[in-house]
Amino acid sequence: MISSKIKPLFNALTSILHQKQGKYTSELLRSPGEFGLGQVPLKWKPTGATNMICGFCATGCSLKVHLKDKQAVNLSPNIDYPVNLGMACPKGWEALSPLKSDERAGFPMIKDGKGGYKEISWHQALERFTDKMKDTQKRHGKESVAFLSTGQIPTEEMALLGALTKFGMGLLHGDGNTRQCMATAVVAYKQSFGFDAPPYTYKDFEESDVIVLVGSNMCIAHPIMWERICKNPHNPEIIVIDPRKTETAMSATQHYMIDPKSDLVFFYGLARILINNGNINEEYIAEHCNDFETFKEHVQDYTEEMVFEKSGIPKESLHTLADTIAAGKRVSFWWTMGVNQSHEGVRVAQSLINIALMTGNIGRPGTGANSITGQCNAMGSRLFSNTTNLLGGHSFESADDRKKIADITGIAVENIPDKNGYAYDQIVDAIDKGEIKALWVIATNSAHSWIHHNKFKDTLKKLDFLVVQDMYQNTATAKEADLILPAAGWGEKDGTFINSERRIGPIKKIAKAPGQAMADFFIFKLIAHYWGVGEMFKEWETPEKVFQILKKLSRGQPCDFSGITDYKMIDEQGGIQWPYAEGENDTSNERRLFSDGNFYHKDNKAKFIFESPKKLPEPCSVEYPYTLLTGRGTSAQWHTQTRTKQSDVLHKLYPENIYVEINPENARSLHIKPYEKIRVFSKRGTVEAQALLTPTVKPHQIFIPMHYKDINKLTFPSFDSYSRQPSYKYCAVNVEKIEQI
Amino acid sequence: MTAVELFSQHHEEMKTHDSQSNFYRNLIPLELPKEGEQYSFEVDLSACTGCKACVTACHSLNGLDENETWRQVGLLQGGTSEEPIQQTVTTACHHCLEPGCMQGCPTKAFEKDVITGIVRHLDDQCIGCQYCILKCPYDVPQYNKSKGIVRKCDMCSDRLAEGEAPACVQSCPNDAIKIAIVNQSKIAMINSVQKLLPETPTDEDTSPTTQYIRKEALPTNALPADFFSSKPKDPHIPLVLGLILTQLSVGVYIGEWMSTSSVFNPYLSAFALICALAAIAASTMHLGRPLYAFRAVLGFKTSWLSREILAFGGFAFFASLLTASHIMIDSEKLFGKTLPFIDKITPYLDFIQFMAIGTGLVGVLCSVMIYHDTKKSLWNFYWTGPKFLLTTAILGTSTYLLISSNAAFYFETSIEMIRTMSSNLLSTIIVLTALKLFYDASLFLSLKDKVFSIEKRSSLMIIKELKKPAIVRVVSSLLGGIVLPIIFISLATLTEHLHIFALLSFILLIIGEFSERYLFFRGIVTPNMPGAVVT
Repeated sequence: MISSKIKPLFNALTSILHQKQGKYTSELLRSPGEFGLGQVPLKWKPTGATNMICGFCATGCSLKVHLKDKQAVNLSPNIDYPVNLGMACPKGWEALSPLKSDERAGFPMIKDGKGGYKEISWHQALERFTDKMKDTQKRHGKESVAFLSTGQIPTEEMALLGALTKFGMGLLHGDGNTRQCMATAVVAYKQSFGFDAPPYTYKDFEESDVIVLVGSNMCIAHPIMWERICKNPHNPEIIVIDPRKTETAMSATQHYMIDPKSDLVFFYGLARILINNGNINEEYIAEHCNDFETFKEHVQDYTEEMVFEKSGIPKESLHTLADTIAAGKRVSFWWTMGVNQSHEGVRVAQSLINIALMTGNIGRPGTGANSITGQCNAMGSRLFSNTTNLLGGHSFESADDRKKIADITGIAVENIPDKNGYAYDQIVDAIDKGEIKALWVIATNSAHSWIHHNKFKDTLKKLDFLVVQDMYQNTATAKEADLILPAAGWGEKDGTFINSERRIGPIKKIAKAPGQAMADFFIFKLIAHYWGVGEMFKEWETPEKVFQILKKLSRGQPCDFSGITDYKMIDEQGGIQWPYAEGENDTSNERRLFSDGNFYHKDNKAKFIFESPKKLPEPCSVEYPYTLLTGRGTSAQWHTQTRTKQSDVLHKLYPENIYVEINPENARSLHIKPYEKIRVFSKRGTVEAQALLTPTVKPHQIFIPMHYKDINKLTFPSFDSYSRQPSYKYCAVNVEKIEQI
Repeated sequence: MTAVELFSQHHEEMKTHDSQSNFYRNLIPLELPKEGEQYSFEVDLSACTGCKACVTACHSLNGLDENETWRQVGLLQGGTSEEPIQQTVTTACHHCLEPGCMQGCPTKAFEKDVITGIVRHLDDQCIGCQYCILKCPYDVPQYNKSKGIVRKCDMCSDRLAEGEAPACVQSCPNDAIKIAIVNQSKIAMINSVQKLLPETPTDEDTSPTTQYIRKEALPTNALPADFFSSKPKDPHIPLVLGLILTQLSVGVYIGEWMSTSSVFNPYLSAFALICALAAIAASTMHLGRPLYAFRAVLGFKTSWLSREILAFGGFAFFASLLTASHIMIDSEKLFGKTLPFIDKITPYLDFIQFMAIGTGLVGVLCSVMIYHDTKKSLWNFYWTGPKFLLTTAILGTSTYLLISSNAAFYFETSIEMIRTMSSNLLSTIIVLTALKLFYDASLFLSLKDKVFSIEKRSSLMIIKELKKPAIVRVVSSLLGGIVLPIIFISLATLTEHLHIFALLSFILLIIGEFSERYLFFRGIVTPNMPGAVVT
């Protein structure tokens, strides 16, 4: 009796002295999550779950959002998706954090005349927008207003923006930030294959026996694609071609540290060896390609000696590479920014396409000339942004195409421009010259990411009116805006993305945008209404309705996806790749193109396209003896960091301040110590950065990640002559100690 | 139906099945460890490419606070221009065989599971003293300011118990992290002959169980990316105060004992007692959860912190008794009243004094051992012992001079006596201060070494990032402990201003010692798991 009273008392006393349970322990309790989840934190146990595509890179992982009372509380990767198989990179894991930041734009704002901004109502904002834009057009012509869009909003929004501006508002010039990353691949494919069509599916990573990665630091830039390579059971050769010993190069079986921008000579030299050794598929060439003979003649000039002179790769190594490719049964070539962001990127991409074609490594599992895309919906932008292509991959210059679009959308064909507008760099030049007086920037941060920053900064000032529509009110570009329109971000709106392997996937609204921020879709709808063309877009009521219009626009095109019924079908099937025309029989979820050897040119053949290498736009000199390389710093940073820096966890996973990778030999001769702040300068600007001594970058080459605002003070504004993509990856700089007084 | 409702209904069917298990099935052991075995992390460095998904997965799947991470990813760089190497390294808790955290915890807030070997932190038992962070050679426990406790990786023990893989294991796209079963004596032997990785701590002490596997050996010149970037650590100001004041207090009581005169004892003891109590208050303020401070004696079997608390607890008791005795014995002089039971006290006075000094000295030595026991070479007995003991001597002497000269001046008693003693006291201060300055400065001999030793790294940090406090430390102690005393001794005219000089000297010495202790905490450099690039 007494013991029954003493025991609990005793336990209570002991627990004061030594406590094993309590409120802090409970904080971290886990419980089965259900919804196909393992254990999750009890405090965030979901009452529902839904899957959607990540809003960062073009890998297009599916993330399972944990919902509590219909609001997102947590997320983890979706296991049942053919892209990421239950994995995500840290950005995907932290996709919800950027939504909660204090720096979100919640209300429309205009300059208050005192150096700051003041909030206004949507009505005032929209009136101001239309008044100023129309006024500018009246005074300087319809084409004096332009827009710069993005690869990170859903396809439905891109299409609405493109149609609204070009058909409704009479704009001619508009481009997207996809120009900065993918334009080269687009043009290369169009010229070689007849349509912008990355031919692969991610399963090819697992089926290839020789994987060649050119200018791609996949371990950092596309970690989940690297995951697919890790799942490859054939013990493949992984060949990395990159001037730096990147994380990916560390995991490669062969690494060719070619000198920057010697790619064209290198790959022509490689082709020459393959051709002269007879390691080509003559049957395939004869049946499916044009212009091989002229190509064969062209590459004969690119001897091993020339390759060694230009790229630093000796004869034996070049032959090893050729032999590896020759011995491969399923060789795949993959490339991304190292190729795309070059002054002759299109021809380099095509040199890879050429090798794939002539060795018959295309159309079969584990093969291909495969461009890896950068942004989550760059693929959507390429097809439906209405910038370089008329909606749906059509041509502005074709009267038939214009009529087709007019018929499907019900928009008068006179409203559809019959020529292309300017590319990004031409828009910037036009602003500089006074041709373009007003600019509308949507979801991109040009003031950080555009090349040759000092000139761009001055150019922006020449505008009469700059509108920035963004999630955040203090991006470098928003800080220059006359009018800020607050937009909802990923997770706060509906729509679809298209990933790097042409897979269409859904994004959903699982959180509420702050303040009065609205989905870009509805901002566009409102602008249409205020502009007086609401009627033109009557049928474009919701993203899902617009999807139906896009289906019709795609019909008959290589990207035909009219066989997809609706969003529900996409959701249930785990994303659907195009083409998926009506009556599509092949329901396998991992499909590739060109398995029948038919390309998109009129004669169904692919073309061999080649050209002599161009002179380097800004070669190194005595005054500027170092080559500046740029690229991705970590997988925790996304581009200009407007989103990723908002996550405390991601913030811990990258270096806070700008740094420069420099070879220890160079550092030693300049008496530069590790972490010392040094000056890096080009003809255009100066940057101070901390020195990181590492042998992973070759002597006389330095590397600075693109995520730090100052980087573009150094870069040189050269552009590929076919794709007009900026060449971020090469300019001449010098490095010096900052003298201590 | 909203889109959200529509889509989440579909997944109701998947309620109980954890689909991820297909992917991690062969990354966790199939059975429990046997006797002499335990779970450990096994990291395949050849597979780790530094994507850092493991850090974010641990964060999200364990419901950590916004800024809290239990796993970290660092970088090793090395090789030559012809064969450069970079290697990312992912690390959480090593679930050591002899966890430093567990051994040092004063409240027994850690336990090592008998079967799995997982070292788990008992969040509700924690008082937030953060000693475990100093005791862990790898800085694994993380202090959570808002809660006032530390938290750390527990190898997702609840998940493992249900056959689910820890968050980091589940989330690595390259399968670089596994849970393996290791033989504990084998691990102990491995740790006695090799380190985990380049520049990691000597591992025999805690015997970490994590295994790092790599296809090829790392180059011999591989260094952590943060090797050349030392950042000053937390100054732990409450601990600085606590140490300085306890050492001052003990010094004063020793001074009393050594002195031929007991005239000033009431004043000295009172001042010393106030300092001792202030020290205890300051140290308690260092705790995240000071209300539970009473738990801190539980760990005395293994923790020098518990022992120090017990010793200083005893010291506070005996010092109070001693002070009370001194005051009561001189009550006639002080208050004009003679207390009746003085005769009862006086026989025990020697004993009380012995106990006070004894517990005080033991306390100071425990303080030294607290830091020696962290196995950080710059905090070992040979650095810490002289520092703490010389503080005791210097501040004890300076306080003795301060209190006795000012008591003499203001209460007009025994002025001549203190003036006679003053030159001895001042000479003592000069010698001790010079000794300590030279001893501390010997660290800077390492600056001439080519090798980037721990000593050199700390010296560089002190002359660069910690330049200001370093200058304060040297100048204050030099002025207060050497220049001022020499001036005073040389100029007979100053004799009558002894009490002012004593005060000036004391203030400067306090500042000097405080700065020394501040640099002791801020300037610590230790080998650790490889960190990331830090700018």
